[in-house]
Amino acid sequence: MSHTILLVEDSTDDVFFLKRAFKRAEIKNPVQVVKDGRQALDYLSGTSEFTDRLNFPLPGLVLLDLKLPYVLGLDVLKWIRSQPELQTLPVIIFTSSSERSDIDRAYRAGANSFMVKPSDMEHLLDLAKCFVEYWLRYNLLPLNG
Amino acid sequence: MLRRNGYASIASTMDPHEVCELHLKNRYDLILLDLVMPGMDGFQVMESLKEIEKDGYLPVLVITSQSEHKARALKAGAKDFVSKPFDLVEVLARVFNMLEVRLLHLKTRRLYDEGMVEQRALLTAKAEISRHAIHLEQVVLERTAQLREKIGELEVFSYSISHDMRQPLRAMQGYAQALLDDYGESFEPEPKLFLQQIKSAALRLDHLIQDVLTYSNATHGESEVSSIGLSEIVREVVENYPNLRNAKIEIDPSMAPVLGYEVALTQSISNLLANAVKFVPSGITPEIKIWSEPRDDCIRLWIQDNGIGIAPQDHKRIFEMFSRVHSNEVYEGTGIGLSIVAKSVGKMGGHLGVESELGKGSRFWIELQKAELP
Repeated sequence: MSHTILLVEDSTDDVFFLKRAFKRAEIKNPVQVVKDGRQALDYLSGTSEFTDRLNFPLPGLVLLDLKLPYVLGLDVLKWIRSQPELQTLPVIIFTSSSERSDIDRAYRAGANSFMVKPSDMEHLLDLAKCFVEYWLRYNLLPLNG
Repeated sequence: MLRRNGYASIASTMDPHEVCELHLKNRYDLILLDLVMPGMDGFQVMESLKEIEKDGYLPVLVITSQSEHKARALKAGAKDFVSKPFDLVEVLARVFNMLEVRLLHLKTRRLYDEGMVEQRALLTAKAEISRHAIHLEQVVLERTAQLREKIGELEVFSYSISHDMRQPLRAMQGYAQALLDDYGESFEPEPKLFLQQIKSAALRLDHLIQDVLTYSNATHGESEVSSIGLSEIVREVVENYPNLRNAKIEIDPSMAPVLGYEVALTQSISNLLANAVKFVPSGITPEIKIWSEPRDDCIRLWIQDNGIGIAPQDHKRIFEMFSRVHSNEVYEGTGIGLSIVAKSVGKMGGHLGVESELGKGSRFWIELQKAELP
């Protein structure tokens, strides 16, 4: 079963680089992208433009940036954990911050992992490879919904 | 009679009303007062004199012929009495004694007044001091609040640097790399080189930002020193830094523990080790020796390398911010690494230094307080 990955990321550059790294790491899972916190809530609750679950399936994994327009990443995470059908959805923080306070707050709010965006392509490719190995090959995901 | 016995400045009056006026003007040291005078009773005169002499000392020597007046006069404030008819020797003795007592009284009062003045000055000074102290306290409080605010602003600033400023840098570097990856083979050597330069410049700026952030956060958040095993912490650094894998590193396994901040010390040791493997002539395997020696109540940690060495005139400035001895073409760097070490060691109350000569390797040292063995 090929889980959909939901990428919540407002920077088109970072979306481009991550998708590119995924491709090079040969990650075949479908990737859906939303550009801000509000869209993330809409997508996950299947409202607004995301009502069609065939085109916008519930993800098996969320990659969540912390600094997002409208609704901050941490609040998206808290909202996810407050929804009964999303409580077990694995959320991986993917951010440029390595601040101690951000890391602690994210885990306290229920993050499953915390990764800092690498500053160069080689490391991003490394990270994408590790990511697919760990989260999509060896790790067993819960069944959501 | 008094004049004949050497007393001067004598006034006399027969008018009891005049007594007070004269005394108010001249402040006599002695008043000989006859209790029985026409028009006014001597006791009334004494009452009036009391109003002039606020401290209650009446320099009055009463003259009376009635013995029952004597006790009453003393009670009313007279200091002494002479009986009528006069006995010359008695009068002179009384006058002499009265004046002597009066003199002593005046002297005492002067000393008392001076004391009061001094005491008042002392009290004023004390009040002034406490006023200054309160003011100072207020100033300190205000400054502390201002500093806190500034620190908060700086934290927001460095947070924003690490997020917002590094993002476009990542993009510059990433797109240059993407161009190289996707179209590199069709490029001439020159445009390819230009792309490499864009990439490495972006990477350099990213390192610079990271180092500045590390510098400004050095020892931030650690409030208590703890006992740290030097052999253990050095080994941990060596194991965690991939750049150190190709070096020959010899660590004294029995180094004594020191007092310090763990994060700051880890940062310092890893910066020193990173330099030790970096500044080596090409083709030479870095060889590093690490040991410690006790110095009074401190422990000095030595890190010796077989690198290119540092000229004596550069020993001091290498610890300064942005200070670099080599150009980026020869050895890449930001010039912040050693200033992070200096700041961290300083925060831990330690010292650091270097012994080196060009071409003969370097020996850097950090000196920290010895920790009590558990």
